[in-house]
Amino acid sequence: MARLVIMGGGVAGHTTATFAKKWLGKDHEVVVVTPNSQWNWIPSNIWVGVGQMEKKDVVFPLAPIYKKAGIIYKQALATTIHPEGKEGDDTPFIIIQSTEEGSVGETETLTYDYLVNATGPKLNFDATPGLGDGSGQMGSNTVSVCTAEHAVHANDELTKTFEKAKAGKRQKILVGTGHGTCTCQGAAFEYIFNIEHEAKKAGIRDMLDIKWISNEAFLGDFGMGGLHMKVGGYAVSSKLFAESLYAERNVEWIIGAHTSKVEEGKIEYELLDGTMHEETFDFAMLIPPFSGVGFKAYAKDGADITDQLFMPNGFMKVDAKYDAGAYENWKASDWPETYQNPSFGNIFAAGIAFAPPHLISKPMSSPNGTPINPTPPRTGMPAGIIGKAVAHSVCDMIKAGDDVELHKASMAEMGAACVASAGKGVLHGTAAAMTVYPVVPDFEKYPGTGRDTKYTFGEIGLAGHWIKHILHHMFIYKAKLKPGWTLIPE
Amino acid sequence: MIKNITTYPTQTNFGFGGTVRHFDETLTQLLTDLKETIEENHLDGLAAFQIGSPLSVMVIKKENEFIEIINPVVFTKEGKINPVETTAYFPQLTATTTRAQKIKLMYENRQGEQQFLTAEDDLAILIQRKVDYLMGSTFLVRLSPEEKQLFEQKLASNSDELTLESCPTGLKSEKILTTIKYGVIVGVVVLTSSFLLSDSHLNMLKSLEYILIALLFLLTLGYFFYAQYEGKKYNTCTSCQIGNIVAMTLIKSIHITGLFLLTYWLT
Repeated sequence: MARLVIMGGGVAGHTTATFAKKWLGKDHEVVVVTPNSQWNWIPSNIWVGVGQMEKKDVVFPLAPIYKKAGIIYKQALATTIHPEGKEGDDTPFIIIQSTEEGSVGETETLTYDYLVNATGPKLNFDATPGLGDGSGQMGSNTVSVCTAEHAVHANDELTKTFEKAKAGKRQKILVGTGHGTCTCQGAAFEYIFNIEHEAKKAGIRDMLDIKWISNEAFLGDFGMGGLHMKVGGYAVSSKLFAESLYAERNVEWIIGAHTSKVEEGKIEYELLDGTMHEETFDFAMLIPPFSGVGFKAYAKDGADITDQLFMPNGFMKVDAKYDAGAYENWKASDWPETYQNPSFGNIFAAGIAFAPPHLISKPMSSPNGTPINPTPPRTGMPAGIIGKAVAHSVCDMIKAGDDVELHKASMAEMGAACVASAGKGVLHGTAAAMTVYPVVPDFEKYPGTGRDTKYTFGEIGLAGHWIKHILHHMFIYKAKLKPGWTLIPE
Repeated sequence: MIKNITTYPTQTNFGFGGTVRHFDETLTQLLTDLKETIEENHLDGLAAFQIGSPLSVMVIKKENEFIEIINPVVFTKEGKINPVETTAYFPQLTATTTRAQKIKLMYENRQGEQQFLTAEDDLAILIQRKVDYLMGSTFLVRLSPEEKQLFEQKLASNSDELTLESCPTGLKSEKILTTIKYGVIVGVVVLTSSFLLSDSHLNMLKSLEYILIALLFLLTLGYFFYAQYEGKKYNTCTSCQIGNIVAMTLIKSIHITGLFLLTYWLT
């Protein structure tokens, strides 16, 4: 009997675990280690953040789902990896620390035959002074919608801001990225337009100054170098689409900005030309930069081998080309296909946990040397597809040996669909529905923009909102492993 | 080499706006072609798209000096102005756009070195127009809905003589047409509900339907005369011309007649 251990229970980890268990059956063990007791459909957090959904609508407990599926569930935090085992025993293992009520802090050694790292990111608030509290958690100056709890807090603060506006006190709202190397601009984009939508509904739009701040070099970059949209029959760049939307909704913007310091009611930021500026706010939601969760890895003799498994930013090394060099040398083939660690063949990474070989957008920095560019997004769809491919590979290795051909899911060969909400409502909601193929531009195959124009398009409207709402229910249904869950695509 | 300048109706499309990744001979040749084409046509600037290249490159001519701009990024915009613009893509036509009065631009030179430029007024407007081309679009996206409608009419008539005053949006005659349209829709919907009604109610519905049809015919007649009266104020407006008014009157009459025949046969 082989044991597959999956660290992380988000989109990638949950997909890997549930498919692996389905394919392996009772002959082998599938163990999920995650510090969270609940699964969170993160794309809907923005609706929690504006009070249009409650936390219970976007989360559900993992334990009963895993019990039903026959997956062993450990509510714990993985801390160290020992891929060579220990003196006298070659069985690899990880050390985990319980986060379950009643046994918090208790450690356990968990051996594995195959290990999948699907932890997602560490929300690195402390990368920007004042954005974090100094101990790795979100600070008190701004809010976030990265987790369901954060979104509830964001809504509480937003409600207070709306109340002040209703009382006749003009309010400044700032939404965007809290560092020059952030990703996940899409979530901030959704949040700012949902705030604007709710303000209109509440009749206080004229009392709010709403401003966007982002590390993107142009509006609509989204960390992917932008894409093309079809709006009203015209094909336009996402830059023009976004600029039109911001202008139409009267949302001002600051782009090419690295937020360097956050204080109560004020941020400092550096622009691409190296100049420093300040912006004040009454309410701010700033997405933190991501990093790896900070695992340590040790050899059998206790030597630190973290650099064999992880890049300096904490994300796991996989089969990517990490020495591609300058921007002009980047190729689609630099991107990983199997997500297998090059040093240890029984270790994989899925979702945000794998280290990308380089950016997708053109790298940029200010004359002061400050990098100001979005890092690659790894949204739900690619994370799910990668998780499923990794599950396939591990199952084949367990059943047929380690020499089998591994399954591939390169982001340079997969498309992604994204539905970005711009306001919730059955009749008055709007969302931008976008598809892009491939996620990572392939300049050799598709000269020019690097994308296949047949599959790269987008529209904005009410139908997009309905799709986003339907997807919310569909993916939670799938994650709960209800009848027919495997038929719903990633 | 002097190149032909792309003009309307050749569409900008997805294939444009590709980031320059290789600062090589091909780029040097493109920059030379842009300059020679600018000189030949006495222009103040060209985006690579305008001579058929997909790359994110433009050349601006300012005081007899050329500025080579590669992979431009406008990262700061200040102030709003509404200039009347012309462009070689839409020869002989003008449009009132909305632009930033001052911009800060980051770009690369032919060696791939990062550069910065602050531009104001005419230069800022010119660069913004060229950036639109590099992003696969034209200044059409910078027009207000009214200006856009007017510009589309200019394109259709290939004349720059039209103004917002010469062909305003929201004509009263157009509102009459909209009312007739919704009247016909209401008539059809009510008629559909006749399948669910008893005979006694059916007679009442039939009477109401005929009253509606009579009103719609009267409105159409009113449109025919009022549109001509209104059109006299706007000589250059295509939707105000007699041919268009007659055609719209006939179309609406056909719709109402259709509603009448359906009412007659179904009730």
